Amino acid sequence: MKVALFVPCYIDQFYPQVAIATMELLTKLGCNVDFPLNQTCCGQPMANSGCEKDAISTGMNLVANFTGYDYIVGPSGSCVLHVREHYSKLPQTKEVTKVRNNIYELSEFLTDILQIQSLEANFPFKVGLHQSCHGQRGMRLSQCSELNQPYYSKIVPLLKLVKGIELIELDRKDECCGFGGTFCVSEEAVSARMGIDRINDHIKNGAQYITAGDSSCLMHLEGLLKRKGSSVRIIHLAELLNSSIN
Amino acid sequence: MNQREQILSAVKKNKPQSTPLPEMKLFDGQCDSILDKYVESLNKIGGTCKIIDRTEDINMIVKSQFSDLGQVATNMQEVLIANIDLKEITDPHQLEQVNIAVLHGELAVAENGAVWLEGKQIIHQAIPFITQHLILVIERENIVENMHVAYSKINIERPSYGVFIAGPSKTADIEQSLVIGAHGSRSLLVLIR
Amino acid sequence: MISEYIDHPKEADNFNEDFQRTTWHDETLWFIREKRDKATKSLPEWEELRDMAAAIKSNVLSNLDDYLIEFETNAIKNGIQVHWALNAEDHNKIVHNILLKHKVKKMVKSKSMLTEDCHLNQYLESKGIEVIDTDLGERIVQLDNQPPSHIVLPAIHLKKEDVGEIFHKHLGTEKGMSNPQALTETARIHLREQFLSGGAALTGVNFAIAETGGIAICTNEGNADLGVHLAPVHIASMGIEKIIPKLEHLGVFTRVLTRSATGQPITAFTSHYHGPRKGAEMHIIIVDAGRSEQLGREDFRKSLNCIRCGACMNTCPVYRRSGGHSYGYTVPGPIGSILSPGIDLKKYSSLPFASTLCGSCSDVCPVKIDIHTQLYKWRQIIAKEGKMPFAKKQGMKLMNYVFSRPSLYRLLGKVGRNVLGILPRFMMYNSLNAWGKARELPTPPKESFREWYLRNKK
Repeated sequence: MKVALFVPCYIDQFYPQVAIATMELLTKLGCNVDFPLNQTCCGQPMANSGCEKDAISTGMNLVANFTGYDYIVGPSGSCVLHVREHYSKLPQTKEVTKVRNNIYELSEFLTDILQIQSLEANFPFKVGLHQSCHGQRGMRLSQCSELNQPYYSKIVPLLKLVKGIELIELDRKDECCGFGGTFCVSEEAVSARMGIDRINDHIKNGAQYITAGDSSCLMHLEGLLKRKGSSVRIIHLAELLNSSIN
Repeated sequence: MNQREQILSAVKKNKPQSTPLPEMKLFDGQCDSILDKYVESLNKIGGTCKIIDRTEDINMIVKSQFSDLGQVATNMQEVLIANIDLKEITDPHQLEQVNIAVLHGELAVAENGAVWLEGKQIIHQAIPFITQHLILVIERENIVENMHVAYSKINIERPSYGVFIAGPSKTADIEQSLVIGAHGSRSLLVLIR
Repeated sequence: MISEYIDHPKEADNFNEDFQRTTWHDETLWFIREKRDKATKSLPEWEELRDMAAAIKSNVLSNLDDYLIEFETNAIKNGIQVHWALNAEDHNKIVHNILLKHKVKKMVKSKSMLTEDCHLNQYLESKGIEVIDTDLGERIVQLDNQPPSHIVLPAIHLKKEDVGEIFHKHLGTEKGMSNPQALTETARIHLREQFLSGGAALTGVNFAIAETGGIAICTNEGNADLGVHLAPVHIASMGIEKIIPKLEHLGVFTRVLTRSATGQPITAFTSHYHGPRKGAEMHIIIVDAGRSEQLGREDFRKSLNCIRCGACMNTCPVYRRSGGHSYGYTVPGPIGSILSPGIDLKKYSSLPFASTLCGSCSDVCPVKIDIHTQLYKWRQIIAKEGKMPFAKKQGMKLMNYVFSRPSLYRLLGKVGRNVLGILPRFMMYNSLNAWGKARELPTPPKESFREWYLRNKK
């Protein structure tokens, strides 16, 4: 299966290991992974700041890079959701529509398309799962605490395929971490406070690692953990699923 | 154009294309015992409940619950301990000192413990609110499962006043600490016959 | 105009100075969110009820003029006097005239966000009429000359010690008294006197039923009823969007309203007024005040579905950590942030940005308002208007941060021309190290993924 790898800009720049892990994981699972070289950013930072119009050419660049692929996979619910939802503002050409339809967040792709039942992965640590909002309430990757719906998750069963992992329960299972794109600087006080409350929930419940499907949330939480001098570390879902620590 | 016309014409101009009303459902038939459910709901909202065999028992029950009855008002003939005749009262302010009101309710709702009172039946609309303690008497067969069923049974005569009372008055406005007895009744006892 | 600008980040920053108090505020409201979750999950038909409530509201908005006329006709038949007010000023004058006619010196008032928005109290007080807010929370903030900080729990920002202090100052209670039971009892005695001496009672309206020409009012304290049943005049103020078509629709709304608001199955009192009591007068004032205009905004008209349950406030992680007053608008939190820009775009331009767009508000909303989508859409309008200080400022903060750090700039520079294209707009202003105040930056890797890929795969 041929898959195009979509690497969000901040992963490319700050967390290349997440993209490497995604690539290795998909390759391990039998995919033939392409990385279109001229991709940049999905345009979300601008759009969320109210500059949707300024992000159109950025969006068109993404579409140009990913035209022709049946599966586009990115290790970020937030960026994938942006392409799916907010590319409605781009001219709805055949290419744009196809990219919007064919783009997947990593856990969604593993669960819905590849339908994997086993994984060669080891991660002998206590892990807290941070449910990133765009994956959670935007893409409905798992049951949302606000809704009266039966339990399901596209992420937890994947984590359970990892040997040695111990998933911890949180007091608030899907509260926002406070990153929120430009919110993290424009509303610095609330953003930091939200993040502090999230990491404290993980720490209190015994996490050694915090994992999530979005590096943006993790970057924010990592910044707070480091400032606090905490030994708790962050790890992207892709890295965790690709891990072989014994 | 006067204000009415200005508002209506702005609304007419700006309203979206008409969408249909949804079909209404009763969502009933969900609980095994409506009576049990009623008792459970009432307890949860701070009310208490007694099942009585004979209407005359009301007098005894009230006397056993209150050492000092004070002013007692009712709209039920069977309540002999009453010492205020609601029909004699012309100004609701005169009800200020009522301690206990025993009122007949028309309907009760299992899902939330509410009892439906009609203004004409209770004579003074103020009475269930101004009294210190409220006792409501309902018939077992008049308990319905939920609010959908309740509204399907209520017949609003007009003009009129009607109220669902679910529990004693309460507030949690200070630090979310629940306090029973905000402005209205300090306690609610429901007698089911 | 600039002095009027609501600076949410600044207010939120002040709020967060007291770490423990912020913890307390967050946990208190989260507790209500949890009660709401429990109550809604006890109904298997919950999501269906939300769909029905939303569909009824959508039908109402699409036939609103007809329903308003139907309501008016039936209300008049019930002996109610109906008034129409284009704006706050009209509304306040109508209230004043009714009070003048009856020579009212003191009016008792139950909770009404509409009259808060109209600044009715201040208006009437300037005319020499005393207004007593009778909802306990509202009375507390009224005594202390503050606005409410929440639409359902007006004094949720105050601790019991604060309330004790306010009561000590205004009601003469013992200093240091902070027991909620004792404080409530004090208020009960104080407010009973007010109910008994009220010359008129003003209430809000939860639902106005077109088919029957009556209104429904929901309270837990019983204060609306005590006021109305004792006073010779009842005035009910409602926004045009409070209409529901039929009595049976109350079945849906009474079931969703309180479960969403506090987790109770229903309020202690759900009163249905279909006319004045014998010897009394009843007036209803139907108020527009920007609502018909909001109805014309396709992207935002759904905000008029709101039944004022406050669930979006309780769930909002930003509201819980910034407090109602930080929004500077009568209705705070997510719903207020999509209503207020329609009233004054410039003044409230920071509010649509006071959100991470996490979407929790839309999911708790019992009438399914797409709140976070509307927040996003207001951002686009605010940015487009250009004059708005906020959109620009926040972008500048971030971009400027990047530009003031060459190594980071070089790193980000590699992201490409498309991003670079928007940077110059934000270049010229001050630098604020907002990221680094509480957080460390990620350790920059030696190479980007692209570089790694080129090195390894080619």
